[in-house]
Amino acid sequence: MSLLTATQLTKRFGGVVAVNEVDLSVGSGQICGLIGPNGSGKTTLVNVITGIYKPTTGTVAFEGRPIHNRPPHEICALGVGRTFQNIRLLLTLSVFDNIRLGAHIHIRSTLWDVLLQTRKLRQEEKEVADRIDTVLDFTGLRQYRNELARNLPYGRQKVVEIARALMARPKLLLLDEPAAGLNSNEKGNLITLLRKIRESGVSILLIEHEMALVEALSDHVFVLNYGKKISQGPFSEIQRDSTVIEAYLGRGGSHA
Amino acid sequence: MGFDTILQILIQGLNMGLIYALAALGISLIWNATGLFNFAQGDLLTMGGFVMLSTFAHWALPYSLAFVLTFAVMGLIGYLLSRGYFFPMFSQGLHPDIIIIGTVALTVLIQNGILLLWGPHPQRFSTPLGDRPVHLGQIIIMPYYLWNIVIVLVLVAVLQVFFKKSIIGIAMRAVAQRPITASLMGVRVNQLVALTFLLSTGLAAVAGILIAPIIPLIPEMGGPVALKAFAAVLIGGLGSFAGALIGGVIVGIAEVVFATVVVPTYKDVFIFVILIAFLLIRPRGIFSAEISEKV
Amino acid sequence: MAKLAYLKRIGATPAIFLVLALIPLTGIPSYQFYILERGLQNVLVVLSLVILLGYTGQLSLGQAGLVAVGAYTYGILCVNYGISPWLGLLAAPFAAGLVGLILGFPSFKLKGPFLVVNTIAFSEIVRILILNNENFTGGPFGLNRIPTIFNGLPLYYFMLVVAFLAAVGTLRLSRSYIGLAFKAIRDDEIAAESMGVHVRNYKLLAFVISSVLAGLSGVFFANMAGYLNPDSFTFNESSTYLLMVVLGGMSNAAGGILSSFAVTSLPEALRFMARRRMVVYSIILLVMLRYTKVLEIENFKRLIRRMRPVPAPASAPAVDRDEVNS
Repeated sequence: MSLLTATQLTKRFGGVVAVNEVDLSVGSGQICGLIGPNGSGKTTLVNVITGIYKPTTGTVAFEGRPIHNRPPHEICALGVGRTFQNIRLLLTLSVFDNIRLGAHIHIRSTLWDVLLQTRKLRQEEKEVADRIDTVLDFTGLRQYRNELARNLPYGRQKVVEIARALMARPKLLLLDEPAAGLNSNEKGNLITLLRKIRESGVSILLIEHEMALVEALSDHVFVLNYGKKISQGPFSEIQRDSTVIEAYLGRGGSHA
Repeated sequence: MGFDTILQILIQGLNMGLIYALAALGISLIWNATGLFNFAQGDLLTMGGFVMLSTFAHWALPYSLAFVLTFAVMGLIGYLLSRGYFFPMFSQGLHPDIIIIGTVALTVLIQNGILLLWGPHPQRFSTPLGDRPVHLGQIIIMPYYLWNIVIVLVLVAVLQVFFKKSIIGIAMRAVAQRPITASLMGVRVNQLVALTFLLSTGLAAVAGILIAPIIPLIPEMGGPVALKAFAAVLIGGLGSFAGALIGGVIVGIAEVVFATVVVPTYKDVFIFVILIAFLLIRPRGIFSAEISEKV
Repeated sequence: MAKLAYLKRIGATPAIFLVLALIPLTGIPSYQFYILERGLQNVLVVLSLVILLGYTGQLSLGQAGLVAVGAYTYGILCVNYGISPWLGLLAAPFAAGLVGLILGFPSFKLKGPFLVVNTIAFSEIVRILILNNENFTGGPFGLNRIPTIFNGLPLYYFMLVVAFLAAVGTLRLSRSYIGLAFKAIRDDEIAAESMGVHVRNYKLLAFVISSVLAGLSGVFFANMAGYLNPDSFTFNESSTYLLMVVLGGMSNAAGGILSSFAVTSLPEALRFMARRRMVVYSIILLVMLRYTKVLEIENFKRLIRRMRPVPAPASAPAVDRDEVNS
């Protein structure tokens, strides 16, 4: 049963077709890779799925329900989480607070609870704090709990984004180049983390340039070029696919 | 409504409208060059009026000399502000809201400065054409109608030539459209942006000089006049030369039309409602200017 | 150790209010007392901006209009309809909140100068409506002989309590999930929305809460002055409120409270000194803004994603295209 299905998804910006009739699906318990040369439309595709852009044509369904007309906060509430290619943390706040933002959709307290500091609010805040600590341990960020997000090394900030997304209890996680800028040690940790996430029942759609990661993690890979899906399949297959090779090499090769 | 009334409305509207247009043009120029919306434009206008008051009315210099002197002084203030204050702000990579707050602080500074230097009482001086209205049939023509319209049109013509033909003008446009390219071409971008500020405050000053015969100069007039100028520039199209002019004329004429045809007390409300409608529906304004648009 | 953490959490605010409670008891002259009163009245507006601007990042220069709504609602109900001042006290912030909601609707879509101009326009519309409805508002002649809830010292302490509650509420808001949602909207709207924050509704909430506080401030204004005039609610007042909140650190409630007292102008008789003061304060603010990085003023330093010199187009796209397409 497919968790996320994109059907003939197209996104146009004026004259530019950033995403061109893409069909894609992610199943329960899967990690799917999304690769392609720079500018091939991967991030735009993710932005359409998460509701930041409305598709020009085509549909997206999550757990069978259409989401392509929904705003981002609703899509998040349905169980789709994400990270960003250029980190979008609240840099003036602590790691704790950044991760706390992820819990927003599950909060039941109201404004009155806040103003009057009711028991309901304090109870909920405690639960959230406990869950944050759990997520901090899960992602190996315990030591940074009260640190300003701005002070963390780049690689750690990327993990904070993942932790924040996990707080929302997503069923599907869309990760946009989580390995960019990580050293080999950190990359190894990331692979372990993503596997742990999959084991906990969360599916992942992984945009990556790091082929080693894609190879190690993906059950299935989609390849984009100039907004069109040019290939899909297990990594071992698409690795040998000539259209894929050409897409990556053809970019710079023609000048040789 | 007779033809005479329509003509009267048009002339009166054009009169104030062109003044708003000047202020609006100043805002557009700086916006194009730096992405800054100068909220202090109204108070710079007021200050220009007061400086002219000193040079023309108090020191009794001849009108044209006082005019040029006022323009120079105000232009210099703009130049110094840009180099000394705004450029360092820009280069810090601050949030644009911070810089907007800076211009608001500037309005407070200028307004209270004017109060300290010139006092709170309304002031006025008139144009060289005097104050005796001329009657053309049913139409009353105040001399400053003519004066303002002529001065502004001449100014606009000069600016058009300046921007299209002179080296500095062309360079300024290049800087507004493609600052990096301009810089690579050897244009000293900073200097030209500073000149843009100079021109902008100079235009505000001229607007202030022209407004003095019509509305008594008071230190607090910056706010309400500024808002009309904002309406003009946003309705006409932020960043567009034609937009500033057309927007100003629209606001000026709308003012008079609303005052005459509807209720005079609410004339401003109608204009502001139109402004808000534009903000919601077409924030780009009438002549929506992309960066590539001509200044 | 826990005591220290608790003290750090509640911050300077209770201490400030304690001092404010004690000062009048030392027998200060009446014009200094007036400054304290005015300062207290301004505290509410500054807190409203701490929430709207400091937490949520909505730059509004329209607070004076909302104060006016509160003040005149109170005044009109009490003078024209003979309603008890206590009921007026309840009704006025409600009315202001409603107007704030109306203001919020066009505002939540706007950013930067467009948002600012929108708020200025709204505030001016309110002022003009007040100016031209003499039957209700007394127009340019003002609304006179407004009944008060208390007078003199009791009024001061009443305002003090209300202001204290407002400050406590603001701090509680700041620490809560709502405050976090506000700050997320301020720092990164896209991220906020992607994390489940209903940006439009939260912006509206910020407008409403800040308008209620501003309206409450208007009630205090009416009580202190005893009469109302539309000239007290102009763009200049809005600018002054903005000055206060930014001098205080923008999202710093205690700082805002302090600067509210520092900047509060003197009564009419001492106008000259008030102006000189404003010149000084505006220069101080300009310097603060100029040296933001050097002074390490946290709240001003929100780093923007792109460096200048590319000016923003009139209708900025929702996301930076270059960032988002790959």
